[in-house]
Amino acid sequence: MSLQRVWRWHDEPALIAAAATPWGRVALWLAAVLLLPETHRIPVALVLAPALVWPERRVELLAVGALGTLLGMIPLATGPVGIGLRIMGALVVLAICYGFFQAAHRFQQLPRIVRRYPIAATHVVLLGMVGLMVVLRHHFRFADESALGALTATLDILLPFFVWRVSYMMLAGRRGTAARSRFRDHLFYLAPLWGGTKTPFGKGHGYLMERRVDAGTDLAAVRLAGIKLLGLAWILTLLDTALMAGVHGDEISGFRFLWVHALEWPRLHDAILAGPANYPLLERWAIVIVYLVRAVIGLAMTGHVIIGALRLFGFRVFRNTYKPLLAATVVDFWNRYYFYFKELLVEFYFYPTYVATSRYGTRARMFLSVMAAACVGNLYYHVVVRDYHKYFFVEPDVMWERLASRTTYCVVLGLAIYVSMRREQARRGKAATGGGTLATLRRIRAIAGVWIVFGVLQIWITGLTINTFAQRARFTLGLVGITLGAEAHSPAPPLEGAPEPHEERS
Amino acid sequence: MNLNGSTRPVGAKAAILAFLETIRRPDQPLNGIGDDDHLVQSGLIDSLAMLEIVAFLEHEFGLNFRDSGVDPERLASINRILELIAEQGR
Repeated sequence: MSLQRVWRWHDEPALIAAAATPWGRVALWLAAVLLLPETHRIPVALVLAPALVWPERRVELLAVGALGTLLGMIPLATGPVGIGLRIMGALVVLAICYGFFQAAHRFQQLPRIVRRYPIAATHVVLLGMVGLMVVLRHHFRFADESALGALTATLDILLPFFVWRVSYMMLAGRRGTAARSRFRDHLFYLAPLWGGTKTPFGKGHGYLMERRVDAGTDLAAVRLAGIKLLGLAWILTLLDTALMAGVHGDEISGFRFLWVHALEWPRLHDAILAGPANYPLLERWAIVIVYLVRAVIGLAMTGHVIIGALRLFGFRVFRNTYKPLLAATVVDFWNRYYFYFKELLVEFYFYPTYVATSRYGTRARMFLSVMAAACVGNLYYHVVVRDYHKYFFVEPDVMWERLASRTTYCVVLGLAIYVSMRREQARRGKAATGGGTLATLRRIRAIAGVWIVFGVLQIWITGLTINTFAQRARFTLGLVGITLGAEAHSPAPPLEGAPEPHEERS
Repeated sequence: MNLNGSTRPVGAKAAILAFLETIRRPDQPLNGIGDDDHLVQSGLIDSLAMLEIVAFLEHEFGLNFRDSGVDPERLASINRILELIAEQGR
């Protein structure tokens, strides 16, 4: 049996046929329970069991699960009063989502301006509410235990989670698919049972319904592919733990052999804080590359669990992270690294900008679209929707410094993607170049170039609350051997509680 | 060319195929793609190349995406593109 066949064990016809039988479904459920991370094991297992028996009812079952998820997401309290507040908060969020569903459902009846700019209108309403909650809390100083305090805190925390999910719902309204749906059809991706980030993995209703597999061996094959992803997530978790022990020297039980012989390279934000002069040139590069590799592994770990769960429920969706470290172009890396975030930027910024700029030439349209997505959309997502507390609730000089770092990242990313797209365009339509050693070497060189671009970019987004703009600039220059400024103090001790690469992208 | 001009729907498929030939990935031959096959999922093009299809449809067939926006699913296969052209041509 070839290695390729072993790796693609989930495509074996005999196994797929077995997985489609009642006992096969029991085995699938047991495997899922075993492989799911502890945080989501019980809720997913409880809903998966009936969904394996009645796949035609999976959306309704997941909607019931979503109601539980919503309650679990609300960050309060114990005791009868706390529980009451929790339910009240969940009901308010549900009512807001229902209001948006009605807008999407009756999209053609909305005012013309909203029909023209549905996503902008959605964001104005939702982020306006977040802003209102923040102002109310700070102005009236509600106690967290009071009903209004609990409600404003809940909405302040929860609404940003729904911004892009509701945006996809409005997009379904614009495309006409929401008119044929019920509110409960949307609940499972609004409050997903398997958790998630502010980026909706699996996008929204239209995309998921297109990829729903209904029955038979196709369904069994998708479920097996889900099990494979859950298994891969565990392998990546082990690999990341090994890197933490073997590279950074973290004292992790079970990995003693690695941490006693560790390389003792610091994490990127610690190295930036200490300054490049504290490390030999090669070690600076190694620190950057290790960070990039761990960022990819971390993102794949999170994505595999979510996509694995979606596949277990019979949705044939793409992986979020698919071998980005083998990408030979910047644009290919961007496609493979964080697929659903890229799709979000493409759907909400790239396409609309392209359509709105039809009076310009193709190259100008392409440039504006790329910058709208990779630069403006990226900045908006992180600064306004995801981390607004870290940007707007700090001293002005800190805010500007953080904005400058993120903007540098977004502008350089946008330019790199545009250049890469132009180069890709020039290659398209031509015959593939032959194989051989030279082609392999060229490919390795191209992959190394992509690692360098994305590795250096990480310097500008790691340690949002830790590193300053000047420190990032110094470390970037340090990579080409230029060490500036009065640094050269001894390396800082590792920061307790500093985020790991994947946490900075959640 | 647009639907009111020299390209008639019967020639639309040939025009689309000729255009896809210019934007396909170098390692993905066009003759392996069926009319209902997903252009992105089959690996023929990437999702960013979809924009070039939009520009092509605007230019060659006079399609207008300003009100409807771009729905990648409606451009997912050769047949779906033909449906879109027929729909907007009505």
